[in-house]
Amino acid sequence: MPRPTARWRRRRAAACLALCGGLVLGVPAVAAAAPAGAAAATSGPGRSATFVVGNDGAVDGLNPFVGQTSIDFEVYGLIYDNLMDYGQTNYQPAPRLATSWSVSANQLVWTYHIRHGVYWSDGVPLTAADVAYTFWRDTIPNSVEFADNSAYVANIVHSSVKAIGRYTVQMTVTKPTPNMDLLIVPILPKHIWDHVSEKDLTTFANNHPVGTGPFRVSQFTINQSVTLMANPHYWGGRPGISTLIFQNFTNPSAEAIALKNGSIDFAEGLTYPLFNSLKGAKGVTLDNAPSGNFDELSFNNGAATVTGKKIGNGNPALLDINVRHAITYAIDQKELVRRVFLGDAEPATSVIPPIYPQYYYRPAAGTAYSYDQAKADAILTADGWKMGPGGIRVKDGRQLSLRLFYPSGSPTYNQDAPYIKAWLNAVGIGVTVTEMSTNTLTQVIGNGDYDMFIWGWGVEPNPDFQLSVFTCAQRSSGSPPNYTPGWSDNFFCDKRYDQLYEAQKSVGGAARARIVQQMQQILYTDDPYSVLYYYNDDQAYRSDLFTGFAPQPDKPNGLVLFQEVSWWSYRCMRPVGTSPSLTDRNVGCQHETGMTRTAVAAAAGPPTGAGVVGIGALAAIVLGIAGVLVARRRAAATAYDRE
Amino acid sequence: MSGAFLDGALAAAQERRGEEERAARGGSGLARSLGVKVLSAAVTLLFVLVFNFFLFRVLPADPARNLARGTTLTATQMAAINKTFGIGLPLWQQFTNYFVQTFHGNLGISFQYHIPVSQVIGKALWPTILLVGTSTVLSTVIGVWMGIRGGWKHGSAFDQISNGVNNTLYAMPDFWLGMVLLIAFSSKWFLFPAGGMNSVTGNLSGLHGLLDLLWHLTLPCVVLTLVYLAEYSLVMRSSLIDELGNDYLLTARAKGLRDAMVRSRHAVPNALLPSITLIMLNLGFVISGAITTETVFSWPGLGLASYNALNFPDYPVLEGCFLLFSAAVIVANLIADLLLTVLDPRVRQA
Repeated sequence: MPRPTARWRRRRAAACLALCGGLVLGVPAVAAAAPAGAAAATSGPGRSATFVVGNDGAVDGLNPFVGQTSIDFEVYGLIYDNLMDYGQTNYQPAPRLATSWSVSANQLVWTYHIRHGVYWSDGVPLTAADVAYTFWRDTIPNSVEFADNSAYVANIVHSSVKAIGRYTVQMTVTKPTPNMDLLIVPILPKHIWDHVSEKDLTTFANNHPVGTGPFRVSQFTINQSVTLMANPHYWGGRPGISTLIFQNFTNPSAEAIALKNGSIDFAEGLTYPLFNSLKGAKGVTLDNAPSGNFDELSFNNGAATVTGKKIGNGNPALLDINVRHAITYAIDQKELVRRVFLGDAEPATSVIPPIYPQYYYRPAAGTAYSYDQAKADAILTADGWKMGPGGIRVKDGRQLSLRLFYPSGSPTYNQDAPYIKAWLNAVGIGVTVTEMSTNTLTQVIGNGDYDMFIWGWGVEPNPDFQLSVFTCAQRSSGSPPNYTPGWSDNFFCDKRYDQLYEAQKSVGGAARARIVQQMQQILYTDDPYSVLYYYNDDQAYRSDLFTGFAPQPDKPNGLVLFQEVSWWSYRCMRPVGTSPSLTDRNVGCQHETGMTRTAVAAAAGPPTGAGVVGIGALAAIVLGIAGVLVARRRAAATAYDRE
Repeated sequence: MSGAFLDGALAAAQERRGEEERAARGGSGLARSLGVKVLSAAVTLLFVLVFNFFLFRVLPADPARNLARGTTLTATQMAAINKTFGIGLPLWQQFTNYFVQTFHGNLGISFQYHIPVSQVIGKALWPTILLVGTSTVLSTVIGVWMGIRGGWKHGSAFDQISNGVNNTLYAMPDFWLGMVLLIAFSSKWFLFPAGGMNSVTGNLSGLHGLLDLLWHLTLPCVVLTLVYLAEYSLVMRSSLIDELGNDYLLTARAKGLRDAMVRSRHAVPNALLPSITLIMLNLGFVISGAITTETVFSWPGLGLASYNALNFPDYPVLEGCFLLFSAAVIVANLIADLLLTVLDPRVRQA
């Protein structure tokens, strides 16, 4: 799914094409493995160092200020370097363009030491001036650049950014900001971007991006593919693959087929049924990787603007904490995981997923919610909701009838909804389910015209943004009829929570983790969201052809590619049978774990003549133009061999 | 009934009088009839242009927010972005801009790709013409041929089989047939690629590039051809059967012409008109692509482009696509109209 990453703080629009979702459900069983010859064709000479990533989304553009989807950022992170990376093993700061950094005693002045011997892909040397320029540009007040990077640069004083000599950059922050040691901001070449005015920024195509990353773009075709070549000037040495291609599939079933028949080496964004259909496919390793994603059932906790003005038409019953608790008790998370995700997810507690263990919240024994319809019933009855006509509870003449919305285009929300409806009906809560477009739903939420909805977020390793979603300042603004939605999609507003949110910004390490846990405890207790599950990112790849991946976190079920705001594997992965060619210069390949992946060597031998006969037969039966087709197939097969 | 008949008769009479007057003025009936058709097509196109503008202004959207990836924007930023994309202007000014720019071929800037809409459409146009165009030609030729053969000897084994097969294929959703072919010929036996228009690996140019393209084209093209065969074969078959009992065929036979000659020289030309109308109308839809087939085979055509635009939502691209699709249908209709006027004197008279 082209999932806008949390890094860019967009809602995850689970955008498996609705159409294909339907297809996949109808035709889950993809036929048996491809012929051996086909796989062999892909591992022939010249093809071996080319790695093809299949994705069910396309790159929007190469301007890092333009792209929105996860695949866009996957590509940007290969072209451009940040100062640091989220570490491969534990998401701790790892050096990238900055080799070291320090902060003054008053915690306000940060100094970064820039790597020596780094060249832009056009051969120009990188200096501190480029880094300073990037941060200077990204902190221009009211600019798109600032809006784009504000998660990282919000506290940096624009005028304070300066280069000291060739390899040192210094900047001042307005208040202590611990995450200045993890600046995920693409460093841009001054000699290119200086010529792109603020006015032209969003329409600058950047078709030949100049970066310092391990790859550079050789070809970009809208809606089809992006071809990257190893950057000959890369400071980290030569990557293990010479060519890296991202190919767009608008049909996830076709993507699974392409992985099986060896046309691609990695498949991202497969649906859960498709992923499971690949079990046992020759040469394919399945990685059911926990990710930073969760889905929630959000409640209207009293929609209001930032100034506190009440808006919208949410059912006031949801302002009653007992009603929210009853709903949470009535939902069987495990059943959703089993039925909708076929087991590839985990029941959830709060808004930080367990892949970030230091921030993950575990409720104390005895305080955890569990699926308990009797308890839900009891809570509602004790709260004064009496069973009324049609099995719907009534209190003070008001029915406990709620609207449930979910965004279209997802293969999972539409499956969640009927389960949730049935469970709530069973405890006497009426539910009307409506599917709507993401755009419409965003506005409906912004206006406060909802009771409940199912949607989700992707959480980045730095929890700051995810926590901000529950602050008072993120509520809607503007005026009727259409308010400007903030990031709050629940209208939770709690002074103590807001104070803790500010507090976690200026401490680090264990102290910060404690505050983050405390904040989640507030959320867990107050229940503005019923977080449903953390779902896995199902990744499948050709382990018979490639090895040397650097999963994050460094476990057998770590994310192989499409890591959380990280790009470790690309620099290290290499064809089976070759030795690591990337000279280790702090780029993570030292973490190569040598895990035994179920590699099955492809049988050798060129494609057989069977293909020709097969096509001929098909053509004869179907069209009676066998001759033409056979000729095509012969020629095409030859072309394929020589790739 | 009688009222309608009278009206019709009256209209016919007026039309005749009109013809006579025109003839008296020295104008050509044919030229005038062509002129009227061209003019009405132009008016329709103009209507579409206006309608298109307002259609996309009533849809809910916050383009500035979308363009800045939804990050918290200040009013200043919003204003700046709105200015770049010409969104914040008063409606009448937007309308004037839209009109002037459209006539200059400037369809605006895509919200998704941040490049001119004409480029987005231009890149998707050729794949669509290649895929839908090729399959339309194939299904036309094969379908018409089957219709002629089946209709001429209707009830024969060929007729029954081709009728049955074509109807079955016609009843299949194209995406379903596409999936079945994919599973059979890309997964079970790897004979054709699973998607895309070119192989992404290797540097294919010249003849190899062409063959690679044809290799990728085969499955989606077969799907569209098979599914639409029946449209042509059924229309051709039934209009040919309508001609069968006619006296002029008896006359032709009485002259001693061979059966094949009677068919191709006498029956088919008379039975061809409905097929020509159908073909021309379908040609108008060639560029609107085949959304479902393009999606199943990841074919980067206009159908897919418009679907993506709708999902995003990328209103300028959608607007451009709608305009292009409407224009194509209008132009194809016009050509069909003109062609029939020239081919069939009865149309001119009516």
